[in-house]
Amino acid sequence: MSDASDVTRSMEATGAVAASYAARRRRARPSGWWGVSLLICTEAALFGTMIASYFYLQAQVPEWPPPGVDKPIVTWPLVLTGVLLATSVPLFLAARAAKRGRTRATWLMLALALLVQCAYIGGQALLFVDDYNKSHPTENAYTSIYFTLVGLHAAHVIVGMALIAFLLVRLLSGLTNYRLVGVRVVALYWYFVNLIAVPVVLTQVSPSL
Amino acid sequence: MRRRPLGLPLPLLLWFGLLGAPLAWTVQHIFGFGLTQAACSLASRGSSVPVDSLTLVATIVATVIGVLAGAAAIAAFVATRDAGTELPGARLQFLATVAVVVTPIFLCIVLMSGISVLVLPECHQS
Amino acid sequence: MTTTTAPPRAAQRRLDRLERIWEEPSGLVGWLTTVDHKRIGILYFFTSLAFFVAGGIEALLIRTQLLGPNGTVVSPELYNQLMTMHGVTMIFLAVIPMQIGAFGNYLLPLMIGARDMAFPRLNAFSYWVFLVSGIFIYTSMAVGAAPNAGWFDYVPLGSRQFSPGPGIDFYTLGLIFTGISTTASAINFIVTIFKLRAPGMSLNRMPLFCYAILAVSFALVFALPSLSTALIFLELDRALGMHFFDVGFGGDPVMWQHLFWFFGHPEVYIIILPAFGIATAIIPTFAERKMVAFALVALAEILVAFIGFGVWAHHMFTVGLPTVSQTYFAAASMMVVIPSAIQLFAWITTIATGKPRFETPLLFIIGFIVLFMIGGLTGVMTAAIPFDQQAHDTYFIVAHFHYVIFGAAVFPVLGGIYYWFPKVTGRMYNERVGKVSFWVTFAGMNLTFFPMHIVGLLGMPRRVYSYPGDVGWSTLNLIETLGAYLLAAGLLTIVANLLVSYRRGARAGNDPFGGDTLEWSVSSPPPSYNFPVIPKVSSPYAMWDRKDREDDEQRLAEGELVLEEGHETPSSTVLDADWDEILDMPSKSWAPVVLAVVLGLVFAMMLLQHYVTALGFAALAGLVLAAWNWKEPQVA
Repeated sequence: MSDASDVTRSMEATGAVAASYAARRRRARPSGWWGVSLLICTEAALFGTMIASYFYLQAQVPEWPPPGVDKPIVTWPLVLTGVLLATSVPLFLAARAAKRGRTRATWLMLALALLVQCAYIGGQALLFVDDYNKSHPTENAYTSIYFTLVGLHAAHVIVGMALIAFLLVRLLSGLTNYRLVGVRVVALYWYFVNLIAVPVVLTQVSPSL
Repeated sequence: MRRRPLGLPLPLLLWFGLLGAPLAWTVQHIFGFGLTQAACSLASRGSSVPVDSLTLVATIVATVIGVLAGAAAIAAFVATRDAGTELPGARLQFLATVAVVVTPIFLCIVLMSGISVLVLPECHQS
Repeated sequence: MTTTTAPPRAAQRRLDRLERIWEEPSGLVGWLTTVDHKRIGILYFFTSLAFFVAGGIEALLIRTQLLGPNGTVVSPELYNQLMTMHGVTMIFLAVIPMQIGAFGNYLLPLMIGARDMAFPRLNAFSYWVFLVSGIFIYTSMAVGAAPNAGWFDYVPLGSRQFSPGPGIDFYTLGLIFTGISTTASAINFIVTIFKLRAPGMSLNRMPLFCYAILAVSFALVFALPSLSTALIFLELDRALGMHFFDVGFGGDPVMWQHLFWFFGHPEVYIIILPAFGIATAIIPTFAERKMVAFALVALAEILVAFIGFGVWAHHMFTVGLPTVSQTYFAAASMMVVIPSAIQLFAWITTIATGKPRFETPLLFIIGFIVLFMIGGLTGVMTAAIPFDQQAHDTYFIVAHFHYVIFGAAVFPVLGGIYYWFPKVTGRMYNERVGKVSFWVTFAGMNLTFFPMHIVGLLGMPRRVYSYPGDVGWSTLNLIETLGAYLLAAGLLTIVANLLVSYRRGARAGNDPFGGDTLEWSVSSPPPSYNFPVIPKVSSPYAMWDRKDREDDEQRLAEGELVLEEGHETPSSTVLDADWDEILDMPSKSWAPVVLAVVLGLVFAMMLLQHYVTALGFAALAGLVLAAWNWKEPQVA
């Protein structure tokens, strides 16, 4: 068994070079990675049960959406989802830059991702207002599940944006092992939010497909 | 301890042997439940969903995967029989023992539910 | 049973240094800001005990009301609240937090040779959210508006139309709130088990109690979201007028049942799995032999949790699902018995082929085995659709689940409390009174719950606030109520034994019972840093590997694996526990308790339907979370 001298004391890595060194020496994924992965499992289960509820409710009635409710539009939701998926690229690059100890590059990639996500959430807001003018969430079971599902995903996006904003602030004081793991796990969270956007949007537009 | 039983890497056989049958059951279970619910629901009135044939396919696929997983588990078990107490051999032997016991249990559930659905009248409520 | 000799001077200096680094202040501030898993375990213990007492009082009121026919002890309205709160309290606020919050938190790091959990501040947060959410739920009782639609709150009874008051809103919001605590705990346990095991503790060398915690935690991670979905839908229906469950608007009340029971069935395995873990910790010690079929018992723990996800609709056999749908659940419900049977067989064989010492903890485990067999058998009976369609919603079901919940979850907890009492307090309990407390509790339990099988088959429905005098149920109900009082007496005997022993019991050494796991290698109570030296592990019975434990003393003297440069504990790889990193653990923090209180305000505002204010408090919570992460764990 190895002794204390050849195992990294990761929390001592209070600078970019040391943090990068610790990240490269690590053989297994850090605790934070496992923690966020499990959080992703719970959120995936949450979205899974909501999507299952959508199709369950659909199976209970002969017409879906029910009469009097417009079928959902297809193009804009899919386009916006594509935009969101694209932000996985700068996030991946940010995580990679962090592992290499390149604080400025990390910061710029995160800021880029956040900018595009702002555009995305702006677009989603416009679509939401449009939907809301056409039918109110409390009209029937269809509108209830529709708005709740879309709203749940938007809430996850907003939380993710807040996480990136927090990282941007912290990284202004430099890169430590703690913040490096933070960048990794926020990127991981975002991979999930972006991926789950696909089944959510496909469910959302399914009556029109 | 043999590193490549049946010509395949031991870890691959081991994880397939451990997880194959449970995953096969999970898919057959969700698929079967969803299928029967959809077939017997209001929304499908007027259209007939071939419950029996789809159930048969799902059950056969799950059973085949389960049997293959069982074979992988047995191969892994035999390969790690003399692993001793050193790592990683002891840990691999432990997981292989678990895999061999897991598979028959899930095969039973798959067959019990699949055969019952084929025997029972469709959409009948007891 | 070891004696410790005074360590040499170099070793003593190391111990002093560790003590300085890890010691937390005493007093209120120390406890409010604690991140020590042992303190958090103790907080969980007393809080869940208080809720257990509350649930027990509710039970005694129920039983007193049902003492004779046409009872008038409580009104029907109050009865419905008592009946609902009894279920909610016992399941969400007593039995589960006791097992995972108290036992799990206190013991897990000790059993795996770690100095704390993977996320100590998250651990503290879990506790404070538990406390605040429990208070939130009980506020409903204080304002006379406790939820009253049963612990599973079926719609349409739970909808705004038929339950117009705030009671059900306390239920929906309170359980979402409590779910945050349990989810955080589950994640913490899994990461701790994956990453913080002592180097050398590969999966095949991990104690069985840890497998139970692992299984429970995975079950919680995947089951709780389904409950959250159901509760979110219900609260949206009630507060904002949505229509998830309204038939007239395309909704479906049966969807509530699917969502609830997809959570609810794994939940009942969550109730019982840690208790299995306690049993597998106690049996080898008192049977003085290793557990028979170790690998299969470890597997069985995980399997019960896994298969348990596929049986939920067996709670819905009378709802009108097509038989071809129900069949999948009947099959899985019958086969889930197999892993339980594997464990029963292993436990019984281990005791029978060992040299059993029938002391109090083992008595509770044997009682558990008997009661679990009965409860398990009635479970198999109800897995058969035709039988369940007759027994559903009768007292037969009440009997079944009390045998498995009280018999199979609470009995091991009671045994575990006796077993680890010396470790936590440093005192021995009174063995003779312990044995008496077992027999009284066992007798009371059977007297209360066995007649329920019969009265249920005679047709007595569940959740009724009274029954007529001419249907032949009166004598059996009388026996059940007397049994309940006897059971309460047994439980009070346990409390009395432990209270007196805490003050005047004989001093307990490190290892009064000859235990097999690592918590018995340290002092009673353990030092703040748990282990002076990170233990070397060669088997799941680390305490019985004498050579390894002697090596520990040697390493302390030489300063090897002491990790004394800060709040340090090792982090290893997942499968084989190869040493990978040295982690610095956080020390005391205000953030967890402050965040829990702020979240309480969020939920209170949502209850009062002041949504904008709730959003404001949520933003505040975000700031507290930022402050939490601002302070990074550094070298001490």
